[in-house]
Amino acid sequence: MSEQPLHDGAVPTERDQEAIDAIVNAGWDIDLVTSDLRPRAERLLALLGLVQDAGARTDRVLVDVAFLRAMRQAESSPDDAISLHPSDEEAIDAWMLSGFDVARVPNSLRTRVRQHEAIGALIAGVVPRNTDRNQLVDRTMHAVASIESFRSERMRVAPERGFRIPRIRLNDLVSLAAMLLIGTAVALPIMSSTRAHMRQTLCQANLGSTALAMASYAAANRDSLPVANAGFQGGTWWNVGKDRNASNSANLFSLVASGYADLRDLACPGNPKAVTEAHETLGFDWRQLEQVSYSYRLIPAGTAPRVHDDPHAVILADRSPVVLMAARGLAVRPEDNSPNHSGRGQHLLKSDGSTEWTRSPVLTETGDNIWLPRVIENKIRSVQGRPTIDPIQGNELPTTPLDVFLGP
Amino acid sequence: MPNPTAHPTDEALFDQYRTGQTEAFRTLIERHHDDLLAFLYRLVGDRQAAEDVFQEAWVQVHLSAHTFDRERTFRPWLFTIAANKGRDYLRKKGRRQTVDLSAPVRQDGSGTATFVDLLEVEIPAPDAAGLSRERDAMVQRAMDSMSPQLREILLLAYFQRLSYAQIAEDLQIPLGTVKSRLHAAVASFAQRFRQVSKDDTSRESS
Repeated sequence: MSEQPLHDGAVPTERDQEAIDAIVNAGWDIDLVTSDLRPRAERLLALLGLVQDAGARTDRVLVDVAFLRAMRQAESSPDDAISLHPSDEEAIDAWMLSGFDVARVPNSLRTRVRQHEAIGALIAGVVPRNTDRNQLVDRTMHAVASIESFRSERMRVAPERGFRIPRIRLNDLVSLAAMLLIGTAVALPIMSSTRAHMRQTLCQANLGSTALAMASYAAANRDSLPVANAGFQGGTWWNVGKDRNASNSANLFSLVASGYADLRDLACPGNPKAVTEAHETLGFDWRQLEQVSYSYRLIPAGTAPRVHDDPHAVILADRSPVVLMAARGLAVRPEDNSPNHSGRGQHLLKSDGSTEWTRSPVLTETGDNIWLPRVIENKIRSVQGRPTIDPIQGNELPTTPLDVFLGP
Repeated sequence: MPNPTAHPTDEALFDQYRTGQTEAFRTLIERHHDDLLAFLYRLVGDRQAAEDVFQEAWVQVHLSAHTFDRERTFRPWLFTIAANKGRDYLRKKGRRQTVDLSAPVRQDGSGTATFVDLLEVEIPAPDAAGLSRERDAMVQRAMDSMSPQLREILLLAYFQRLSYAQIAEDLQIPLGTVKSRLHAAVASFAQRFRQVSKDDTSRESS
């Protein structure tokens, strides 16, 4: 079983880490710790409550748990130990509910509300200095224009007609060829990298738009994630374009079908088969698996996942390479990245609307592989190196509600 | 009577942009430049990063233009997008708060809370002569030391002046959580600002 960190919040200072190392290396004997680190080490021991428990000093699990305890204490110190005076809480509520108008707040609270108003003014502060206002506006307009130009380029299908090659001499041709060779050698890697970056940026923007669409859908549908069927119960879920009850992409497509998202938001620029026009789809689903750019959380029948269930849960990602291979009956490599970005990584969209770029399908926090259900992950966990496994059948489901498994 | 074409609303300008008038977008960017940049600066705590997020937010506005609900107002929508981008930035940056185990913690484990009474905190009045660069930096230091969640909710309420209901919708959290989180955020800011001010004063006097 892989070892998981016990916490992922705050971390101790370097000096504290030195003290931790020193006390552990000293076999938890404070007298063996150097004098410069001893006060911190003593403090640490006091926090851990281990001073009297000599028998358990070498127990690794106990050390981890005790360390976690110490971190929780330290983390909780500033914010948990203080709270606002009840009258100030009342003042905030009154001020907010008055639409930030002091005149509409009861007299008894006005003095306090003015303090809150002053905090607001402090926070609003000043615009950061040394910023060239026009330059930033120009840069922003340029960024928007570049994105738009890239998008337009994707849509262009036919070259202009009537282009004539001017009359040229052999010398011109040789010079031109040499210049082109040199220019191409220099420019190709740059252009390639720029285009990949643009695709990645556009893809991330797609997920941002989809997050907004999902939030609107949830607001109108009792916080539900988009669904088009009653969930899956052992039946096939990768029959894209055949039966909405046997296609997980139909669930995602319901965002488009119900008008919350535009088809373009669900077309990754890194997917050459992606479609952007409604007539290229079935109206309730894409026509074929290859057209689907993003893999969506599989929802078992009888469960009704809500967007608030777990704000950090991954609900959408660049399309799964595992499903693409498995649907063709080929062995899959579980640690491959999405083909959308040439296998460099994939974007993730989480329940709280945030997006993230990852270079591995295995989630850092949980060790969960987003392309597979836990039950299969557990089977292959003992295999060393980069395992290949027999194709999945397209009817597997998440093992638990916390198991992230995306398809198609 | 005011002429609506002389100073069109944000929504009217965004409509113009959606019909192809590029200059309307520039006007919107210029109109919200100061507020949005200050908001992002406070949120991410770094000027260069704030400018990057500023650009990303406007690119997202452009890309999501077709999803904008004409019944809603433009400004909260813009700030929601910007806050999302700011959150993404902070997550990518992976900023993890450093704590010092030697810092004072609750000694007795009783959970006894300390109240922050704002009447006892010296806060400059809003009409005080212009904020100095030093004071602004102090505010930023206090904000930087807060947790990102508390900082964000404080900005949405006290800077952006969104209602409880709007914040609940934007952050996708229950209304009760918004209230308690905002109360905690104000307490946290007041305490940290007081500490930063004290540190500053003692540095000047030494």
